[in-house]
Order: sequence, then structure tokens, then C-alpha cells
Amino acid sequence: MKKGVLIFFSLQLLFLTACWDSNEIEDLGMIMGIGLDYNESEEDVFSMTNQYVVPNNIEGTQFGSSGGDPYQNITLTGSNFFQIIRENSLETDRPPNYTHLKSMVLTERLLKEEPLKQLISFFLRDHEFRRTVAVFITKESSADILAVEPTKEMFPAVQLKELTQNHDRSLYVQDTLKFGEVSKKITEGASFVIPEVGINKGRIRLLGAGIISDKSEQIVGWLTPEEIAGLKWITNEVSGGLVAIKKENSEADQAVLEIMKASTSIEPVLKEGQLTIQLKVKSSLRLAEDWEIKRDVFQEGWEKELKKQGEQVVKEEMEHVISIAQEQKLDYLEFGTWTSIKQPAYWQKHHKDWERIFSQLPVTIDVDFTLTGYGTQDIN
Amino acid sequence: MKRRRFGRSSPTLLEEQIKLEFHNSEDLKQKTIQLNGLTLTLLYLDDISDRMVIQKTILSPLLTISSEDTKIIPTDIPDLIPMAAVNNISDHSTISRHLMDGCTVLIARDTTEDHVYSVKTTYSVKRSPDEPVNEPTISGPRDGFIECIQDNKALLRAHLKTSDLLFEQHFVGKDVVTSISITYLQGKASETLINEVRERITQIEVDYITDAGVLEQLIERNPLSVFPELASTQHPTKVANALLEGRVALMTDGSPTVLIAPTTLNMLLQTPDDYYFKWIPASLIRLLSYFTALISVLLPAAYISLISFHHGLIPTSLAVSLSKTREGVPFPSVIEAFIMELTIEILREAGVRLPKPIGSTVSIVGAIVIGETAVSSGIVSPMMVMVISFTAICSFAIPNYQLSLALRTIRFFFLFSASILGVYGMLIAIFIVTTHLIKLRSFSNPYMEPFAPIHFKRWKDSFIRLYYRVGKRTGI
Repeated sequence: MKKGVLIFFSLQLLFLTACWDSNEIEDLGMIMGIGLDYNESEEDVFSMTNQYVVPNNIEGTQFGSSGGDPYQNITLTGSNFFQIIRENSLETDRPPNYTHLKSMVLTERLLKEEPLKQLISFFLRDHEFRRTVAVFITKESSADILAVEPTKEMFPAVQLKELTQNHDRSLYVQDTLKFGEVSKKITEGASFVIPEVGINKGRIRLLGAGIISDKSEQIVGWLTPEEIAGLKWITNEVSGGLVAIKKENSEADQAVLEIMKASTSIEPVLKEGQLTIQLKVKSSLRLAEDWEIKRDVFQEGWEKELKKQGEQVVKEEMEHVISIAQEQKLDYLEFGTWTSIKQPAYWQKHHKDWERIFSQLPVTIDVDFTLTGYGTQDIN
Repeated sequence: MKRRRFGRSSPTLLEEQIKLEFHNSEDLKQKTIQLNGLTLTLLYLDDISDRMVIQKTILSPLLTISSEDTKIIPTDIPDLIPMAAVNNISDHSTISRHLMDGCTVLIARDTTEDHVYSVKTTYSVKRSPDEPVNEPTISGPRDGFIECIQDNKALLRAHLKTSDLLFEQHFVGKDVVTSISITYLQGKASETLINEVRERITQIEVDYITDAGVLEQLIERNPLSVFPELASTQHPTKVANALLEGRVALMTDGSPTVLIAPTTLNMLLQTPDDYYFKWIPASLIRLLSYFTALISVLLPAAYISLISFHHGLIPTSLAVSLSKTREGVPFPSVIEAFIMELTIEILREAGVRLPKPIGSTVSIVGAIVIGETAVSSGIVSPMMVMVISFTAICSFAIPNYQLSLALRTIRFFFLFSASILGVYGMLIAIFIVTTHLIKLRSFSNPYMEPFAPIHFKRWKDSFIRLYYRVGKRTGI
């Protein structure tokens, strides 16, 4: 009997919590994207744009009576981000929820003023943020970027993230920089690049990249899309795209090669105390577009010329990026990381002096192309 | 058992005693004939005995002999009756049971004592052994047990033509005696198992048993568990398979249901069809029934915990459309789920209780009420309707009705835990149920065998069914 009473009361403890911590999905202010910006004001230094989902305006379901966008951007200002988020509750009845956050846009202005480490401190600490959020940088205002009407996706923030999914189609598109990788790079103390977005004729467009320095953790320079291609070749991130051989490289008309497979190996070699980086690029390509009339692909050795010219193009691209990185003394090429892995003893001794070593580091580049064919048909 | 003593010492005649026991019921008929100095009394219950048989096999041969001039002594009676089964009843207390089986009881009295014989003259109305309604099979034998234990034994004999098949008769009930048969294959079933079953049967203290379902509850040892301790079936093939695996079957007179002990969860999720098809598709079907069992228990709980606790675990596009469809629903999702579950359960019960011709009305009304009106009037969200109906369909796909009933019950427990603590509560519930299942014993046999304790060799007839050369039928 006594035992029964005891069990009864212990069970009550469970029931008394009721639906503790429960929060219905329709009561959430789901947020798809955030934009951080700098605000020209003494009091409120920062501005933050939250992109809310407005479920009622989503078309295509049973009660489709939509008018207006399925999203709502709320831009508020404050002296820190947590405060701004809590201030959102003054304007929206649904508390913001960041578990479905897709992308985060930072501005050039903001990163010139404040170091990245401090900026993202709140977002790293809070449990709702996923480490898969895509991070971008822009020269425009972040509120403008998030306000660009998406054409194929429902939300601007989703379209933004999906753009970087094309990194296997074009050399100019960098792979998604995830929030987790940003935190990793900062912890490693390495320089890195953030994909840049901009607005082109009312549409969102991926541009080059912004370079974040390992010392100030602020933005110190920019890379053009062409330089992104070189960077991708160096850091073994090429998984598709094309190599265009233009007039200045060849005596004949232009030709375009499509990359089927590519890999780069970075080998730091230590010889008599002198560190050399050996880059070996191996790629197999096929002829995709050809403007040269004289070329006959049915003749043996047709690809020799193309191979040489293509290798030259890639080598030049890589050399260009290495030269500007060495000029800036910023190692976003991951040479330091590879040295620390493959030559740990050397790294242990010299890593404090790496900036100087890196700027004068001799790099040998060896590009090896294999041309596998000319596609399904040749009409010559 | 009620026992009355009859004998020579009794002041009245034996037939008078019996008549008294039947309270001078009108359908107990008595006929006394004189056979050359021997008084022969016939007793039978009119409605369940075949008068033509009595006439042909008892009266006419005896009367023919009596017209001759030979002297008849009582011990000659069995030889004079042209029937195979003429039993000598030495224990007079069993006379009434013989009468109730439709036998004709002959009392031959000479100077010293009563010689009692019974002759089987049963006449009864019986169903034909049709396919059991609630256990349809695609291929394989289609006969089913009926309400008569003799015929059921015959059906089982027809499926298991072996001299090892033994029927052990027991009688249960104080007021009304029901005969129960412990059935097993000698050499296959272990002696300890048979003893345990026998022991539990003899321990029953009850006035009467109406059905095998009552017997099941009287001999099980885990009355607080929702899981069936004995499997029940109306398929002779299923019983035959179980006996071959070394299990014991219990047949109850008057019930088409046969109980099988011991049972395991694995066994409840199997169908005879699994063995009749090639092993690859049969294994996939086996996997499917495990999957549906899991779904029918977990899906509503998982849905509730995702949409009211862990929104981050739903894929974004689904989360967005879910929040759209839930827009305007007046209840929290937990209440919504309980409303829908209750509706489905009511519809289900109504469908079972209603006579067949009107039964379809329920499904039409149910489909319109649930599928259309509830959603369009905004009481429930379309997704919830989908989740609950899919769960209901999954629970229909479970091969065993007892198990489906048990899983239906614990589904509410899971739903309740999930509504309080989300995925965490669901995991606690899974933990509790799993612990219970592992601890559960069916006639000293672990319920979760071969998964706990693990017997990898027997897994070839669990999630999958291996081909016959490698995976022979496993025992228990």
C-alpha cells in the first residue's frame, strides 16, 4: 500500500511537468538567413537582418490564399547581437528560431571595423545555430542582399546557399564555406577566404572572395573569380569546370577543355634546411568546344598541343594566386597546414616565423593533363 | 470437480441416481429392455444423440439376439453391439460426462453388480472447417479449426501424420466441465515444458471456461503485461509448424482457437506464408512486418516529438510546409494526435461490432469524416491525418491480432511519453518496453529469443528466412 502511494506520487512528478519545453512548430518564427551590418550611429553600432518564414504566404498547399512574399525581413539595430535578437520580440509574436538557418551574410564594412572572432562569438556559443550555415561576405549592405527576390527558390537565404552548390560546375564558384569551418580556421589561426556575393541586375551573383587575415581577423583584400580558380587548383578543390585556351596562349583559335577529374597534391619538401612546396596537379579532361578548323582529332597526337597549352593556362593561374598571397604575406593557400602535417619538426621550429618564410617560399608547380577524348562526335 | 458416488450401496437404482443428477430433465431418455433374463437400461440425451444410430446399432442387434434362446451375460454386451467404440465405464462418476458427449449409456444389471457401457451415438450440428476469417493466407492449406475438439484433433492428425503426435486430455471447470487437450510431438517437445503446461492446467480453479481466450488468461503468469504469453491461432498448419518446432498446443472444446506455448515476439511476427514462398521475397516480407510493427508503435510519438520539441531535426522544406499546414489548427499537436487516434480506434471497434451488411457504412462515413471534413474544418492538420492513418494501416499489416492489439495499447504509452518529454521521453519509453520484453518469459522461455539472449544461428529464421538447405526450421 505504502509502496503504491510512493509510486503514485513519483509518477506525478513526471505528469506535473505537463508539456514542458514543448513549442508547436506553427508558433515558431523560423529564420532562414541573417545579415550582420555596421550601423552609422554612436549608440547602436550594429544592425542585424533576420529573414523570417511567413508560412501563410507559401503557395501550393491546400489553403493557398497567398498574397505577398513567403518571407519577412526585419532589420533592427543595437550594440550587440543578442540584444537585437531579443528586441525582435517587440515586433514579431513568434520568437526567432535559428535551427533552420541557411546562410549568414557579413559586410565588408563590418569586417573592416570589427574582428570576425568577436562578431561570431554569440553565434558559436548559442546552441540553436548549426555548423552548416553558409557564410558570405558582401560589399553591399546585408539587408539588400537578403531582400533580393529569389527566382527559383522560395527564400533568398536558401537561394544564396544553393548557389555555392555549383562549385563542381564552374572553377569560379568556391565550395560552401560552412560556419563550422570558419570557427575551425579561427581556432587554427589561419588566413582564409569567404565567398563574396553581390547584386547584378537585380539578381544575386557570386563574385570572388574576401580574404580574412589570421592576425587581425578582419578583411584585408579581395580575390577575383579568376583568382578563385587558381586558389581551387592549389587547394585541391577542383571537381569540375573548364579550362579555356585563348588566343594569347595558342597560335590557333581558342579551344575549351572540360575537367572530368582533378586532384592536386601539396608536398612540402625539406632539402638542406630549405623548404620547398611541390604542387602536383593531375587532371583528366576532354575537348568540349573547339574553334580551330585545322585540328583533326582522328590523327594520332592531336591532343599534344592542347595538353601543353592547357597545362600552361592552369600553371599561370596558380602562379598568379601564389604571388599575390606571398605579396600579402597571408597564407590562405594552406601551405602552413600541410607543412605542419608533413614536416612537423620543421614547423615546430619555424612556425613563429612562418609569415616571413611563406612570403619567400619557393613553389614548384607541375601540371599533368590527360586528354581523354573529344566527346561523342567530331564533325571534321 | 463435483463428484457423487454411485454404487450398489446406494438406496436407489443407478439410473435413478443419474436422472436425479440431471434433475429429471425431459431430454434424458430411458429405455429398459429385457434380454433373456438380463435387464438392460439405455440412457441417452435425446437432442445430442442420433436416434437412428441407437436403433440400428444397439437396439436391433440386441433384440435379434434376445429372440433366440441363448443366455446373455452382461460381459457379452460389447460383443453384441456392432460398433467400434464400446467403452466399459468402471468409474460411475463419469457417466454424466459420457451422456453429455452424446453417448448412449447401457446399464446391464445382473444379480451382483451394474455393468455400464457407453456407445458413441453423437449427433451434433457443426460448422465446416472453413478458412479462419481473421487469419487469411495467400497460399497453403485453407482449413481452419471449428468448435468441436474431436474434429480439431482430426484436422491436426491430417496435417501431422505421425505416431508421435499425442493428445493428453484434461478436464477443467467446477460447474461445467470443459475438456482441454495438451497436444505435442513426443520427442520434439521437452519434458520440462510439457510438465509446466500440465501443472498450470491442473492448477486452474474456475467454475467454467467459455473459450480458449479465457484459458489463455488463466494459465499465463504475466497478467500485467500487454504482450500475449501464448500465441493463438485457428490454422491447423500454424499449430502443426509449432508442434514441429517443439512447442505445445492447447485445444479447448467448444473453441476454434488453439493456444501455442511458449511464444516469442519473433514467432508472432511470422506468417505461414513466409515459408511457402522463395526465401528472398519471403525475407523482404518478414522485414516488412518488423518494420510495420515498429512504425505502428513509434510513428505518432516520433511525429509529435519532432513538431513540438525538436524542430531542428525536420528537413527545412518539410518544416516550412508543416508549419504552413498546422496554421490555424486550434489544438496543440498532442491533443490533435489523441483526437485522431481516438477516432480511428472508435471507427475500428464500430467496424468490428457492426453486422457485415452495414459495416461498409462505417468505413464510408469514417473516410469522409476523417479524410475530408476534419481537415477542411481545420480541426486537424492534413499531415496528422496522414501520420495516424499510416500508423493504423501499419498495425493492420501485423500478422498476429493479439500482437497488433498489444502494440496498439503501447502506442498510447509512447504518444504520452513523447508529448511530455519529446524524443527524450520516447527513448525512455523504448527503454522501458525493451526492458520489459527482455525480462518477459513465456513458459520459462525468453520472449525476445533469439535476440535476447542472442542466438545468432537462429537469426536465419527471424528478420530474414534463409533458404531451406541452410536454414532448417528452428526449434524453440
